[in-house]
Amino acid sequence: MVPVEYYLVLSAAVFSIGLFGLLTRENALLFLMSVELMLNAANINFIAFSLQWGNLTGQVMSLFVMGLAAAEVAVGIGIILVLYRNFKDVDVTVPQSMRW
Amino acid sequence: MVGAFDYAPAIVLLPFLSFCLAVGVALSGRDLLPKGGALPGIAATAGSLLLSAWVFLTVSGGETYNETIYTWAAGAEATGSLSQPLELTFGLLLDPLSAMMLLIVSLVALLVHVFSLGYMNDEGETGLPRYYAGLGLFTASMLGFVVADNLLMAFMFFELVGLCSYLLIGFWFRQSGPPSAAKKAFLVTRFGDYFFLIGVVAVFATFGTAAFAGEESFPHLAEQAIQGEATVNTFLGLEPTAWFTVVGLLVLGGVIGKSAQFPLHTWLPDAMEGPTPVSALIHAATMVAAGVYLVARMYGFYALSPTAMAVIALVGAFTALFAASMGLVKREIKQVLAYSTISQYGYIMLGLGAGGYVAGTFHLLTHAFFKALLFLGAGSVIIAMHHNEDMWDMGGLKDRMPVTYYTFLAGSLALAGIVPFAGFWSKDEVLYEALVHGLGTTSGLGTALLVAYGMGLIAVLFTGFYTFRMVMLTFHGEPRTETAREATEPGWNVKLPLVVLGILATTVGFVNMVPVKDLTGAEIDFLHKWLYGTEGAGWAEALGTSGYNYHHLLVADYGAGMTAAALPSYLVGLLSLALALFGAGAAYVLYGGTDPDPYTDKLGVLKDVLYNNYYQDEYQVWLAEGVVLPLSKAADVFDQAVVDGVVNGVSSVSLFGGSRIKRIQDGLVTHYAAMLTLGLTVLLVGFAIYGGWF
Amino acid sequence: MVTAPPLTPTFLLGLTALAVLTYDSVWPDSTDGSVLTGISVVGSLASLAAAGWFLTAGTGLATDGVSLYADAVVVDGMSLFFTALFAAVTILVSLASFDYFAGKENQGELFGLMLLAATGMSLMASANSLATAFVALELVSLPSYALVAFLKNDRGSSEAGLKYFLIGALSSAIFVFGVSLIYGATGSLLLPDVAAAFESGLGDRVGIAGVGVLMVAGGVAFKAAAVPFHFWAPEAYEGAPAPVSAFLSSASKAAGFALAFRVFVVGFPLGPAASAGIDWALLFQVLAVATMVLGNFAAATQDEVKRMLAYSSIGHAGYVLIGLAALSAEASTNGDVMGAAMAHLFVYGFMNTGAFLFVALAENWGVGRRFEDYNGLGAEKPFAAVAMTAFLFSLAGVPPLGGFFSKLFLFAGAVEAGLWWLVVIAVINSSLSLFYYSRVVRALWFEEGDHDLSGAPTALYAALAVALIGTVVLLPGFGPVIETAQQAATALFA
Repeated sequence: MVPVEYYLVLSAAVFSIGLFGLLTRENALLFLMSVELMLNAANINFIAFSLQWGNLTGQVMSLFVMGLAAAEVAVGIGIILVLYRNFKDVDVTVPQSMRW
Repeated sequence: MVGAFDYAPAIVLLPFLSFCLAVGVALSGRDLLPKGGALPGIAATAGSLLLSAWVFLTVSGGETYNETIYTWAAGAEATGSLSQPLELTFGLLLDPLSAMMLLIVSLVALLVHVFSLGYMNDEGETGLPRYYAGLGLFTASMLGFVVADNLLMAFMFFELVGLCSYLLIGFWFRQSGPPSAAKKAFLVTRFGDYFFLIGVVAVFATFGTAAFAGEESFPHLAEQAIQGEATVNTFLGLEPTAWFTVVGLLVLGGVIGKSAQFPLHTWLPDAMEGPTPVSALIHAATMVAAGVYLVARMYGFYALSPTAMAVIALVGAFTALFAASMGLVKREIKQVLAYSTISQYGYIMLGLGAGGYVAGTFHLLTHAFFKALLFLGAGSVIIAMHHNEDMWDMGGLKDRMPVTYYTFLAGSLALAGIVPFAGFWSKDEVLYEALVHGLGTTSGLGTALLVAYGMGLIAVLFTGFYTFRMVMLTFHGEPRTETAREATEPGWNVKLPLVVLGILATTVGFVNMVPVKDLTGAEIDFLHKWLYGTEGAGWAEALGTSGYNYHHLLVADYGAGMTAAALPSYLVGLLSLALALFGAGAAYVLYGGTDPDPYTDKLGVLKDVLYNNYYQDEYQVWLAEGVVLPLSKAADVFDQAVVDGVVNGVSSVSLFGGSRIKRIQDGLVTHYAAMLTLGLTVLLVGFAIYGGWF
Repeated sequence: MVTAPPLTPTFLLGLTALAVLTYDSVWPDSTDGSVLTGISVVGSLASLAAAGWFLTAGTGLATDGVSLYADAVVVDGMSLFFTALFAAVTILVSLASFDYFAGKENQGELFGLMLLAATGMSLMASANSLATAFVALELVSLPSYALVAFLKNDRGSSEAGLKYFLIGALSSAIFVFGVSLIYGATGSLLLPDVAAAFESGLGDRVGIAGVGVLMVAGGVAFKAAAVPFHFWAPEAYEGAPAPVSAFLSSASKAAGFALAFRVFVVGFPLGPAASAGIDWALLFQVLAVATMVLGNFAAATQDEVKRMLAYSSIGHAGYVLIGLAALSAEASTNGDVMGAAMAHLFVYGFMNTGAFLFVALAENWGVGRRFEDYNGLGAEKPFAAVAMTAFLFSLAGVPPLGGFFSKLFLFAGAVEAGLWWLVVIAVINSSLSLFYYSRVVRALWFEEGDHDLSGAPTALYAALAVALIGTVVLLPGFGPVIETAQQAATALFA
């Protein structure tokens, strides 16, 4: 059996990749995808620890996370559409009328 | 059974109600009340007078009342060596002293209200609702002060009295004099009140209670503490007696300010700028009386300290002489009366300090009536003279205003202390007490009392002189101006109070004719019995505010340690009567002619000194300008440069910091995400190292 | 005998949301919001009444609480207290929305989203499992994003929505990753089981648990708008429609704290956690100082009233964090200080909502957003200006308004817990806040202004009046509030 530490390293790597993408990309859709990666890093953890602890809590939780991730994307896409309507772009660095 | 005591709060509340009514009307800006609010005031004070009389009768029946009505703050635990936590309360104490004072205050207040109809309404003054609101609140505060059952409540009403005097003295605020006189009265008395306030706090800190009467009262606790029967907190490492002296003298600061004793008397002559009825109220029954009443109220506390007694007696006697000497040369009728007030309150202080609790209270009683009478009489003259107060412009008013003249004369005879008018009996008793205790007591207190007696005796001579100088100049001789020639007596609302007070000023002294008692053996010292009660029984035992109790304290070796020499009171009385007659006679000789000369001018430099009040105002102004002002300027420089500098610095640093801090919110959401991640990482690393997680 | 289910207040909010959506699907094109407002207000009132009834009727909830659904949800004094707060704020905001959104499209969605978010907040206060917490958190967040971006053709609104959404998505990812690590360290998501694992020792999994705790703290800090997860707040509050700003800054913030109080106190007991090196009280001390300093200092130099209120809202989050920062394992004052924090949130729910509603009123009148634009409003609309003045002074903690007492209890509790340095910082910040709040008061009353104002919108005025009553009545009524709060908080430590 693969030791749980390996899963931890994997999930941490996926989380970091997501975070990196989120910090470097300016396209709102890529931003969304990066968040998806981070959520899935959590899912890896849930499932790995579920196996480790021998209960189903983690697996159920990962289903919740997936469901909510989908909902989040739905709202996110809606907001990105509004953004495009107002700014004619999906670049997250364009809207900066409010600051300081 | 509902008795007088259940209605006692109404004595205070009725005038307060009339105040509220007058304020409400004044705010509405319309002339809703007939007579500008005088009638509600008259009705309220008449109600108070009736209730006071009822209380007086009930107290005569041997009942007293000492209850807390409302506790507005209560402590959780006791401090120091006290047994009880602090409680701040309002309550009523109705014993013979307060019952008598209630009667005086409500009667004088009622008469002043009636007199104001003539002095204010008939003269077409404006702002009458404001005037009557002030009178109502003034009366209510003084009545509240009189019935207070503890020192803190007394202090609060004491301050209210001061506030009202400020409002009333400055009633004619559009002229230049009254506002500044009002400010002076307020500030000078406030200066004394600072000491009083510290005294109140000290009483609370020492005894944990400020109640005047009963087993748990602070005078009683002080007595027990000196005898080692109770424990109290003392401070500054002082023994109980010494510490009680300090506390007593602190409270005395307020008394000296309010009762216009030396050196805080300077506000009172200026206070003549107010309407004359207000002067009558201030001098006879309310503001000035409040100070000495306080000494009488907590007499059981002062009686424990020979030093405090000596200070009271000396301050009183010196003030009596000092003020009388200044009254000798004044030109305005109200100025003479003002200095006579200061002087007479000096006598009351002397009486109290000399162990004459009854004597001091007696003089307070008689003075209230004859001084109210004199002021109202002066007011009547001022109305007739169209507000010219200079006595050298008067003369010969005797024939034109007979009612005013005869009542004024009765008051003057009482003031000068001519038998059988009221002032004779009381002033005589004050001097008698000072003499016998001065002769009998061997300690330093005895010497002090003898000195005080000497000053008091000289003041009698002066009093007789200035009183009759005033009477002669005002009413006798030929009219010296056109106005005086055409003077006419005002209406009933002026005459009625004059007549009532005139009768009282003549007769009220009969309640306590001690010399007659000594001569004939008849038991006619009613006031004495009234204030003493029955020894060891009834209210005298329960409250501990009876003359017996005070007498016991005064002669006890742990108290003031006084002894009375055996002297027949009529001999002492004859001496002072002779002096008073001599003074009065001198005035008659000098000023009694048809066209008197201004003899005072011949006094030269002395007259200037007296006329300028010994340059008291000047030296106090010098103190303020020469000493306090430079100090204040230095403090101001410190405040401007250092304190403000720090404050301004802090605020500009804050604003600068704010303008920097908000820059991190630069509007770019990717930066936000980066800073968020950075922040989280810093926290993670920091706590991982701090907690040793890995 | 039929007994009401313990979750009745939460259910009522949810059912009201469904009722609003049903009405909207029958008449989708209606632009008249009166029926929707009516349904929302009545439903929220019913929820408030139920919560208040449960709290006061002595149903025994205040001590133990009732666990439901395999312990995933708990109803106790704290959850009812917060539910009452959410319902009250929802009433205010619904009333204000009637006028603010009058004549606009999609009002059904607006009220529906608002009520769903309120349901989620109420669920957050009841969450006894990290799974419930996450679901509830998202149930609050997702409608909130949409609400902020509600004005589809307004650039500010959509920009605010975008920023809020992006930071929110990142934060919830961090939160859920933290939850997964907690699960990894303890083997359970139920708070009592997590606590049991903490108490029996984490062994070599302390590091995982520590990172997890910190990330969970990040998730709640996002909801509460605390540094460094606050970046969304100024923009979201400024860009969103003013009633939505009121809703988010009062109710949503309180929901974040409700979750934080329960998760940290019940789930990560301080004693075992601190001895294992996870001293989260220290973490909250750091966050409290950073949050109040940043919020107040940045608020002091703003030019627009709404943005000033947004930053001040961050500052207030800093004060409330003291309720967590001043906890310690041994102290007996924990219940008092946390209860005081809850009471402050309760008072804040009225005064801050009221202040934002005044901004809504100003936007409704068409006066500008800057301080100068408010010049002279006091003379023209005295009632509204008096209410605003009361809100601002209460926010600044000027006696004798409600905000003074809640701050007083909070600071006194912190001093008793020995954190006097934190209180010193808080007091300095509080006095700075008086400076910038009084700028508005000065503009309202002491400056001359010239406006052409159109009438007094009834529902907005009613909402202002209710908030004012809340702020002022909490003076004499503060005793019951603080007692209930402290009792409910103490129950958590039992």
